[in-house]
Amino acid sequence: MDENRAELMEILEETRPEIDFEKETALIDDQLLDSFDIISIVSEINDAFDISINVNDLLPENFNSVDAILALIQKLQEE
Amino acid sequence: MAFFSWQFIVFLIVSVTVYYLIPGRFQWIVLLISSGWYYLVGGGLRAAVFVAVTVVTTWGGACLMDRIPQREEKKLRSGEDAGETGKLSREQKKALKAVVQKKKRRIMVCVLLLNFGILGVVKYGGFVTSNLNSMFDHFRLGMRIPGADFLLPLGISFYTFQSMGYLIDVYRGKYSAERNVLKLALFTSYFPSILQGPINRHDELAGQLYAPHKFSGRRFREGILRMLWGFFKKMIIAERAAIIVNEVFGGFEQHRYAGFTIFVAALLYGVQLYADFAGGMDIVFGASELFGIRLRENFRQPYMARSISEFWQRWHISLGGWMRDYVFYPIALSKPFAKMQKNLKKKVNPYFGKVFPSFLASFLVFILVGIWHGANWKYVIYGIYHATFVSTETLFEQPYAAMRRMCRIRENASGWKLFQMVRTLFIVSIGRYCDVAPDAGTVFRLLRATFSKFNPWIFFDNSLYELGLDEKNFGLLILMILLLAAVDLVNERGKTLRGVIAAQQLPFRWAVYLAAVSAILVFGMYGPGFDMASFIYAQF
Repeated sequence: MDENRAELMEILEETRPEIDFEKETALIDDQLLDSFDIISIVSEINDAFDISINVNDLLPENFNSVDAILALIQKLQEE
Repeated sequence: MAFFSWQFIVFLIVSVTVYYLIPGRFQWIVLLISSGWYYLVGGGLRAAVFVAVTVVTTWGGACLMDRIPQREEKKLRSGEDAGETGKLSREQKKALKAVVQKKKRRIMVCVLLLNFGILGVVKYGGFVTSNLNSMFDHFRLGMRIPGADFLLPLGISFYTFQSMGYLIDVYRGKYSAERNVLKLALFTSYFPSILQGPINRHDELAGQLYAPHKFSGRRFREGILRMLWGFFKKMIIAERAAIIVNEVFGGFEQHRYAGFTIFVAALLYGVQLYADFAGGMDIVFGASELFGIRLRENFRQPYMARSISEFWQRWHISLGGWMRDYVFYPIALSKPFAKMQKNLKKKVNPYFGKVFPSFLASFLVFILVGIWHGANWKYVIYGIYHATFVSTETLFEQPYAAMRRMCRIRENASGWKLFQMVRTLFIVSIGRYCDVAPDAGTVFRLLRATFSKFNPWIFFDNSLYELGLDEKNFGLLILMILLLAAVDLVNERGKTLRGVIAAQQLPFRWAVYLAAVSAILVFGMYGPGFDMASFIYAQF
């Protein structure tokens, strides 16, 4: 889990270095990430974790915080 | 039924009165009857049949999709040894999911094709046939397709998009289908928003529509104030700006308007469009607030945007959001795009690979947004124009940042921010030539006329007062635009004047209401050609 977290943080920070991802819990609701960021993050996550996040998973609650994204990754890895 | 008419005001008073007099559980029925009545009076029976087709097919499709998972699981269990309640294996779950998605997709595609098909035929039928006919003429094929010009059912773009958004959400499993067809009919045809949006989301609106609402004096007052502010924008600002806009763009060839005259008119068209559309939204939002129902905001101080992509996050937000969720994401995350991304990352450059699919998807979205506005080549140009700015912003983000560093520009310096806002306004204003010109050819002639003459003296020699508004009216328009900008500035800082006024003591509140009503009646423009029904966005 910690490995996943470190890898995810790397992807997020590379996309938007100015955001404090550990602190933010409303990345989508507060419009901190835009649609271009989402696409780029999703494609990186898909590659890094060998999963396939599809459009049905693109709900704000899955992307509002690092924990939410991690939960989504874990769910898709278990499927 | 025009918003600014006695009929509408009486209709609203009757609806609101009955709404709060009857028990809460029946309130949604009052809204449904009101919406039906409003639409029948405004659009007639024929248009109502179009809405009914959308309601019934969406309701049926969503209900069918909702039942598939249960039915398929039952089928699987009856054929396998998992039993009625036993746990399914991982493979079984995977197989079940695949079958369910496939069957749901089939239903969704049918309903989407039918509804977008209807929209396509009534909205774009004439455009397609006339283009095909001119192509046949060009190649002298001697063929002719009979004209297919339909009268557009009121609000068809808005309610079709709203309903199809709901259908796709049910397909995606975001929420369950609405079982009651009448409740879905209310969601589709809710009268404040059917003519010019916003394009609502089911999970935000439906719960509010069906829930009982107690009368709240404060919300009611805020609703009235919001409506008054909308009428104010529409009647005093938009209608006044329209006079110059129509004069300059209507007669620019005949009167040889050029240079700054056209650019001033383009800026005023920006004001007119904003005051008209956002004013219309204020009336819609305020009317809905009278029933205790809050709609999603459609504008967020658009002219304070620092880039074109930010502009689209602030202007007609509900259309942008719809395009993002139902067009942009599915395209950008589709398998061919994912494959393209991987190839580009490997073969060209990691950064390029990362942003190119979004670039391409946003290009397609903006062309669609352009076409959404109407069946005309000029709107395709409009889409491409905006797509170019939005998509290159990301594609060239790194070189742009390097250039800023080279010129020692601080990203958050006020001067730079102001420059960005003015630049955005300039780009948006030029793009609007596509809107005001009757066809694509005129767009280019207008551009040539704008940049072929440098005539700054028009600001000093009174020639601006010869475009339909005398000095007094022109001055009043400028004053009102400044007021609009000031209110936007307050809103941008997270405050609303409406809330402050509604919380004041009774005499102060009434003074504000009376002042607003008198201003609308005294300064509102009601020329012989005046038609309150003609909100610009209601034609889309």
